Amino acid sequence: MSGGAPERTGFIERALTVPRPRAGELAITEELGPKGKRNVLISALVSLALVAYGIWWMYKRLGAPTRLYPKGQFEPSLWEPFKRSETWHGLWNGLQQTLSAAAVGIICSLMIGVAMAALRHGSGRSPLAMVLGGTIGVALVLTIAAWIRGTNPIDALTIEWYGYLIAAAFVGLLCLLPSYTSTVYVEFFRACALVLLIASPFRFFGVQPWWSVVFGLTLYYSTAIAEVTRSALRSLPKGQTEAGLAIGLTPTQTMTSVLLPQAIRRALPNLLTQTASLLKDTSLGFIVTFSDLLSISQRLAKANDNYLPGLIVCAGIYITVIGIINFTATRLQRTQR
Amino acid sequence: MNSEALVQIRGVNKWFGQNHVLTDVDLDINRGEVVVVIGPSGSGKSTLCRCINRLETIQGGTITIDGAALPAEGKDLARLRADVGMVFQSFNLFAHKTILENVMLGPVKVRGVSKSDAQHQAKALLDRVGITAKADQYPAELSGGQQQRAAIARALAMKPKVMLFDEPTSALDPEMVNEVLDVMLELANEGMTMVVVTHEMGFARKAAKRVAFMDGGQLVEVAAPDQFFENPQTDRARGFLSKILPH
Repeated sequence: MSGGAPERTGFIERALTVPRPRAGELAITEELGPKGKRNVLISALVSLALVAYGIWWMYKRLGAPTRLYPKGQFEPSLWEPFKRSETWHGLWNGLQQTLSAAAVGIICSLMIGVAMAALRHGSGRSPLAMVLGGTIGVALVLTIAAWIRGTNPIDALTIEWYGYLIAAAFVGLLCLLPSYTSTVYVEFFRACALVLLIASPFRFFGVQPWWSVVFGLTLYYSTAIAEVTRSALRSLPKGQTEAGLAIGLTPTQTMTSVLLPQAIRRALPNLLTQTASLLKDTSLGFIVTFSDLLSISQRLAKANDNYLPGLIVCAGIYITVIGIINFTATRLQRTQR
Repeated sequence: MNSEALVQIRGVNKWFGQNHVLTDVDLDINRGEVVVVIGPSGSGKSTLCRCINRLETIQGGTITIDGAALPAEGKDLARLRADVGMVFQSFNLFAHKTILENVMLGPVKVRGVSKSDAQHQAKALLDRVGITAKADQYPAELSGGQQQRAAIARALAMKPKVMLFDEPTSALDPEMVNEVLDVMLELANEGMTMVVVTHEMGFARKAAKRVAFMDGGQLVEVAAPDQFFENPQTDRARGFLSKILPH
């Protein structure tokens, strides 16, 4: 701001002021000149007007009387079902399904994804890498076996374990070169459609819906997390690895004590995006008759004949849950620096 | 030269692709000796330094430390590196750990020292290099000179047999060079075996027992500092010195 006299900074003036970058942040925008300020102001007003028009149009359209809703969809009586406890009970059941599947899915995805990233990043010849690769290979075999039998992986262990052991040993051998295994794993499951991964165990092998959803989400999202983590690993300076090795850490210790903690911190915003995305994708479980939040919302909306309020409430729950996750993660990141 | 040299470098050859970066390098470093390696950039002095703890592999010749050949991989190599301290040009402190944690990591993870003992020792080392006040701060909050002193403390925490310094002051602002050199001088006076790659001729004069001059991947001349700086024996050394020493 120029001139000696203290200018009164109004709302618009403040909105147009580019915030100073915080320490360590790169400034990517300069302070605006008079022309720039005018352009920003004009485009802001235009987009505001467009958004307002859009909202008004939707309100008119949805509020208009139709054959199904003679008084429009914003009629207060359509919200009546939300005064009954059964409605909330149903939604709570759905939310529990969604959250449990998402929580197990994200934990498995993180473990497999980070391990895959570490294996693919490193030379992959350390004993721990081999054991990890082997374990994941065995887990894969057991998972597939469980699909075939339509049970969970633990049960699969006890039945016909000879066959599984041989298969697992075979995959374990393959995993002696873990970086290749992880490349194959990531490239294969990343290329599969998520719906396919969720549907296959249920359709072909009669796996329970909840397990099908968790399997599908884990297979798919572990590849996304692997790639996010790997790119963060690659962004670390080479000197960090060298310093770790130079004080006598083994390559595996260097990975776990020096590289991964830093990489995960760098990848946190992306990991968060994947977490939120995974949580929402539990709704794809409808194709395997999984009773998650969205499918229960829809069922209730159908029964109560109040689709719009029903879906607004459902969206509100999703937004709240993801908001809480975001908030906690951001907090965590700040305190953890 | 006795056969008990701590570090023996014999006939070492190294290529980066077609580029012959080390040619038949022979050098012995005795216990308690400070050898300063100088030479124009690209002469292979950093590479030689990094070969000693096998951050770079060699294609010919042998390097032995304390009578044992450099292991090729695995636990043995890690154990050897624990005995060889290294200080880098760009400090390379672990960015996610405080200065104290940086110094403690090696002793705890590699030597199996208990956390409280490691902490005790780390604090003493930070005191020795004069950055006690910075113990709980992160590397990014320290000046270059402080970071490099922390890096020296981190290397010393492993109680190394020999310390390698790879251009430790080249990334520092001029006013911070001396605080690092002072720590190094002190170490040298206490009898630490040191290999120092540097452009600091003053340090070479003061601290070095011998100066090794490299050019074009070859060890051209090895001599006591007085002799080397006053009366270099080779044309290449004379040429190098005439360029860097103001008259």
